[in-house]
Amino acid sequence: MPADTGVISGGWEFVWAAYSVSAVILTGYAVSVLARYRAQRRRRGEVKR
Amino acid sequence: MRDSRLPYGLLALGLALLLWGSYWGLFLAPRETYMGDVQRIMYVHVPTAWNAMLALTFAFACALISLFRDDPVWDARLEGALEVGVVLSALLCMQGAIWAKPTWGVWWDWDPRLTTTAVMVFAFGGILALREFVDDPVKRATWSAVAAIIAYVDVPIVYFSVKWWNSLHQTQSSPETVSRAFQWPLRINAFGMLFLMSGLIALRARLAFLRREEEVA
Amino acid sequence: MSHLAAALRKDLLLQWRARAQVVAVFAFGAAALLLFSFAVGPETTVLREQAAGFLWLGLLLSSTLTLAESFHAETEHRALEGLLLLPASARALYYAKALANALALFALGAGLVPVMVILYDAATPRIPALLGIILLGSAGLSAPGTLYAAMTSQARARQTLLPLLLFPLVVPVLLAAVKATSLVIHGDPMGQLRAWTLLLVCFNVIHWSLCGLLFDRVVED
Repeated sequence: MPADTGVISGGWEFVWAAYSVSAVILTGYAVSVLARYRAQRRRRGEVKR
Repeated sequence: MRDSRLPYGLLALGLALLLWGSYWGLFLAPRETYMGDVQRIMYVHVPTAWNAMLALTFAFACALISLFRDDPVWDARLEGALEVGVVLSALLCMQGAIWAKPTWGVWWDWDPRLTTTAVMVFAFGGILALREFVDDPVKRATWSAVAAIIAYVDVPIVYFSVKWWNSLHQTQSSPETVSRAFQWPLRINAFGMLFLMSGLIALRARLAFLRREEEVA
Repeated sequence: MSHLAAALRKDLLLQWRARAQVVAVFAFGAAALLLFSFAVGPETTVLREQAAGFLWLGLLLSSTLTLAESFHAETEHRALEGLLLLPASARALYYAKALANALALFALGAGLVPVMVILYDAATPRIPALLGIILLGSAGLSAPGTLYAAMTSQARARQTLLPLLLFPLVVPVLLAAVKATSLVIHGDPMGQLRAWTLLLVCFNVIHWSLCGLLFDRVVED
């Protein structure tokens, strides 16, 4: 078990992992919502943008 | 019904704030004394936690209104809030695991908040699954509202039960106090995520509304 | 109140008529307990330590069968619509069904205790306490379980939906019941049993009222 009184050194790979996972999931989900919404509007016949 | 541009604006603003806040948190904020650089994960983790809870609370409100009003708009908002809430909660669990590994040496340390979040992913995700298997839109709206209310009321019970269950083994949970030097990137990201989440819920709700219209037509 | 009594009588009668099913569900539960020992290994100390967990997992898995079956009559023969035409309110129907289910699960749980004692060497002299916990846990499973069984019996993919919806909700019941049962079997030096029992009671109070309140929206047309 890692020391709970000491200092955690380094660990940048975890920081990058956390930020990358967040970025991928958030942008991926946003793209998915936008794409589905656009497809639904196209089906409805309003191709405004 | 005119399509307002507001959700797109919220998305753009949210994204910009998140980029700014994350840059600050990653490169400019000072290193924390005990946790070192790993603490920087908090700049995304805490905002995600707040917004996941917010999304699901909004879902609860939509469920109540939907039951009382029988209005398809609120059912659409319920669907949007549920999906966004589940995505954020799932993300929260992943971030929690990535934080736990260097800190506690294990990927999962049964922290009550994170464990409750995992249960919530299944509880509210299950309601999304329920929606897929009910064909009648009126029943779908009523049932998912009922299920969302029960699931939301259950959240504090789950939290307390996990907390007591783990109390004999738990040494420490995720840090909540953030000292003043670290608050700015946190606030910026919190607002960024708030705007992003709101924009996503709005768009997802529109999608749900259009789908229902197509069904009924 | 007489509506409740009549509905309860109906549900208990249905359960009695379907008692062959009860035997089958019990066999399922007992088989599950057996499989747990195979999965964990024959070391008696480990089995005895985890006995409470296995008992409740077995009961939880079996409950999906019992709960799903409880609306079988209503869906197969479209009896639900007929029942709702009667002056008896949906609420009375819910409480009757949920009570009948709770009793069925209690009987199942009590029946699995000897299996647990034999397979895991997990005996205890505190039988009333153990039965009390099984009753509270069964009631806790039954309250939301009956509501969701009513819902899913009318939907597609009902067999997957019921456990999918129910299991996350009853996590507190599982945690509290397992802990309480474990304390009864192994001893309770720090007097924690009361807290866990209280949690079970609270869960029951909240869910029996909330689900009863919401039930008529679930079965309305």
